[in-house]
Amino acid sequence: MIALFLAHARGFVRDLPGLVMTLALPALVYLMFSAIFGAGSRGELDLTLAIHDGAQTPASRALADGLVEGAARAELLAGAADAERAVESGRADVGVLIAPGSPLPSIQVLSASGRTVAAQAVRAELDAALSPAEATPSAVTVRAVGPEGDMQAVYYAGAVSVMFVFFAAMHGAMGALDDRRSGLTARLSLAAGSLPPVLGARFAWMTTVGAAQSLVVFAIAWRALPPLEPLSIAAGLLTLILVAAAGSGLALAVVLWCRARDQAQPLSTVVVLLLAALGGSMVPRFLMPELFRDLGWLTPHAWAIEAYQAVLWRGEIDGVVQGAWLVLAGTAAAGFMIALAAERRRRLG
Amino acid sequence: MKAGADILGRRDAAVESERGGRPALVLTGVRAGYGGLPVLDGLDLTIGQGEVYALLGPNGSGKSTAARVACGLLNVNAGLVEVGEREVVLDHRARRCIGLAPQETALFPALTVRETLTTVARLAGLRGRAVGEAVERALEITAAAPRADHRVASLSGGWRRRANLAAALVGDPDLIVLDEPTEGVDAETRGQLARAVRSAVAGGAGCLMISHDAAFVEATADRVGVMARGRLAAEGAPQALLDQTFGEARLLTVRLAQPAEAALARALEACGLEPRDGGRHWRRLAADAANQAAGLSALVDEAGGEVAVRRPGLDDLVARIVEESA
Repeated sequence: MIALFLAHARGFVRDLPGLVMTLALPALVYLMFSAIFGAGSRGELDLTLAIHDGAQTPASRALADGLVEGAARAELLAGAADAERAVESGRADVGVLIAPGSPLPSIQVLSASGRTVAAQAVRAELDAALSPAEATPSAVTVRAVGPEGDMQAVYYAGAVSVMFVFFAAMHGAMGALDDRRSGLTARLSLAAGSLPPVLGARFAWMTTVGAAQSLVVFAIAWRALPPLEPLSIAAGLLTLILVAAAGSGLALAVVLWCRARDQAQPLSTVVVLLLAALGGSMVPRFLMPELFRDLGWLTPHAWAIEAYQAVLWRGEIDGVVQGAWLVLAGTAAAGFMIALAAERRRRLG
Repeated sequence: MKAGADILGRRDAAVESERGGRPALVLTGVRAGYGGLPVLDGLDLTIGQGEVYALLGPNGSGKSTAARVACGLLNVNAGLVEVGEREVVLDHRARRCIGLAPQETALFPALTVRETLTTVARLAGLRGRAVGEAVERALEITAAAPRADHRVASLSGGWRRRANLAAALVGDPDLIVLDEPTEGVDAETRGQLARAVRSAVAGGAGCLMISHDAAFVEATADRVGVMARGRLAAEGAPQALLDQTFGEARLLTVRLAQPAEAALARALEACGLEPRDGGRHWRRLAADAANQAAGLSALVDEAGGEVAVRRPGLDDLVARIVEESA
């Protein structure tokens, strides 16, 4: 038994990729996750503020300057409508309108649906700054802007569907490894004359499955969505298909770069979890530190979630949406090309 | 081998040349390997239409690498690979002319045999009625029709082997590449597979076969090539090669339950037999093997062993050629 135990240990130590994935990756994931999610739970929200100082008094200017200094990102806007628009579009997490008042300026915190936590955090900070005594009534009010409805449900429909599309894509891509091992890929690529039709068919199928998965999630979330124009529905469907295509491309690239399932399974799990965490599939990105918010833009998840929010919640097809389409289509195409190169490299020596 | 056809319909490659048929596969001076490790070292090989060519050799001699190169599945460092006079790496039409039956049964487990064959046929460019006809033909040739509507995952090893071969044949290829087509099958299935391979090449396709199954190769192949250290060490019709290598010599073997005791071992050595397997197995190739067997039988019977004389087979041929080339 000891000999067998030692044989297992020897095999474990000699499998360097396996060793790294078993011991180093969990630690890395832990560090990443604690950094990503830790800030929110400690109450340190890195928020983007849109501020309009309508009072223009020394006190209001001091307050606005204080907000700018204290926030991770803040924008001083000339008009109240501009601030409201920034919050509605998602460009700012929270808006702050400072109006004349006596003796203190009157302050309104603008909150879009789904940003209640952020708005309440800003309100609490303003209360603390303006009314140090606990008994003093709050001079700060909170006003909701943008469409009415269950924005959280819409947010998580996008966030969860993206995450599971990528999970399912990784699972689907594993089949390509089995086909490589059994010789089925070789057989089919000979019948077709080349590899692209064989890999392309798998890519198309995985995209179809991913799109169907997302459709099911959005069908269930349908009642939570605001009334949608046909153009918004079409844009939503396009986003959904591009998300599935991006998942398929990325999954094939990651999995086919591996030699076998024992390499691909842990690697793909880590990739999916990290992308989901950074991209806002697990918690909204505004709860993350600024560094991870910025890193989030490197993931298809963040773009997809922003695009869903814009198209399905606000009914807009703006620059963010078009950017998301480009990023998702680019991820799909690049992933597919990398997968092709990886498969050729494995097959042709 | 004489020109014409034997009981399995085997044809002489020379006949094909006379008919002016272009070769199914030509490998010229092929060098190839994996990650800087050379495996094929200037391999030259030609397979004619209607010919079954079996590559033999010990593990690591380059047989499977040669098959991969023939299919364009491995890049060559030097040399030329042509299927039907088209360069296989550069011309996708050459690759479409190849039907591959990999060593593992490379099929869709969740589909039926018929569905799998239909998929491969469509991928090979067949359309309309031609698909159904090709599928039925492949099923008939391989005798897989009784399980055509069964899911691949539910089939036994023998039926999977038939389906695996059928999938290689369904696109009506010019070159069939078979990698260990009889692995794990019983004698009956082996016979059916042999007939299927012969039927498949009867239409003019060439066949490159990698197999360790000497009986199957002897029953199926028109020519064999023995590989050693990345190139062909010998080539020819199986019987011709056997005759050329062994002449009238026969193989005398002695099998013992226990290692030979000293007296018996001295007697066997005196007859020129060489020990193997720790003295349990003795053998000698000799023209007078029958006479020696008669002389030894009493002694070996007493020790509870068996004496046998047989014609040397392809396994012996490979061992001899590899030994000589080393």
